[in-house]
Amino acid sequence: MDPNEHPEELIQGCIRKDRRSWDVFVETYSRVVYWAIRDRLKRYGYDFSEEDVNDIHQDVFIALWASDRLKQLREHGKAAGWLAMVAGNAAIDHFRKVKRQSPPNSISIYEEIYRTGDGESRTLEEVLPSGADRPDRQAQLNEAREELEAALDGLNPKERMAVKLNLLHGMKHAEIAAALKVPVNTVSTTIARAKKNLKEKLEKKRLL
Amino acid sequence: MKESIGSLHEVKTACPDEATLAEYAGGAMTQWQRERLEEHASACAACLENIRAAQTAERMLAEGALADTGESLKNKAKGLAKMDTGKRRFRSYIWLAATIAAFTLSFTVPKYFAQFLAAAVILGLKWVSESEGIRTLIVSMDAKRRHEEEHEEMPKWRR
Ligand SMILES: [Zn+2]
Repeated sequence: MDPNEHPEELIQGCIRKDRRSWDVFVETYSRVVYWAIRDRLKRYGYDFSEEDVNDIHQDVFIALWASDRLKQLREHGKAAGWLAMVAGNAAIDHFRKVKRQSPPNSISIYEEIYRTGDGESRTLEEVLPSGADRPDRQAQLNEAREELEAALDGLNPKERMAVKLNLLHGMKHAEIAAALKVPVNTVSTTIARAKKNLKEKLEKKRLL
Repeated sequence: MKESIGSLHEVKTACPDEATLAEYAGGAMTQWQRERLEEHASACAACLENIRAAQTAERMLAEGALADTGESLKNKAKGLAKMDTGKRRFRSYIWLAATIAAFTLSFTVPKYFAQFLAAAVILGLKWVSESEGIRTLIVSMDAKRRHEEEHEEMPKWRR
């Protein structure tokens, strides 16, 4: 059974507690769960071990099998995406609730706002003129974020999503287009305009 | 405040759950629903991070770009299905009944005393191993339940 062609059958099988379906399901999606846990913990700057990842992986599959979590999934064609979200959130919960740890870092990627001569992209945080040890560093970052919000003024929610998914979450234009179901050139135009706007604002505030 | 990833202007309305975000990704929503969700997500870093994770996972899985996980990790997850409490408990009762029957027979049929006693020991061991499995499963389910109770104060979508 190819799970990518028949996700519906596979998931229904697991809900019916069919063991063969479950084996195929684990075989297919274990890698998604594993990737999503590591991805989320890395993104939030947690210091984690392989054991943490394995524990969370098993917790996710317990929730799917024993707590019938799969019944919640309505869009069977997006099982991998759904699992990645469930696993990512489970990872954060694990650290917050079981290990009582809040995320050490807040994410701020601001990718590709600024390009160096050799074509390397830098995050806004790397480009901001002060060192990380400067006492007003946080205030400076907050100010930059304020400017980003200001630069998003006048955009509709979907356009804001596109800009933020790119600048804050580091997604490529084509992926954003796929996620938001809009043509890629529309996404690119929106992002280019917002970036130009933001750059001007940052320069005016002498942040860049 | 929830995790302040990036934005200072976080929304306060509850986040859609993962299943709703998956419906958004699949396009199975009315225009009105899509717009409501976009209004929320455009000001919610947690939802945007979920959207990113989902889109990336879908693409990477389709491209075969995700590394397979270790056999022991997969076997542990597969093993959950073997610990189906209901069926297991029933099977353990069968083993217990057979053990008792063999033990009784060993006394009532003196001619085959040793044979029946040996059978009773074997069946008894089966019963023990089956109920051990149940005990392990119940312990792990209890731990899971406690874990989930701790989550009561979390917003609905997190659980
Ligand atoms: Zn949200």
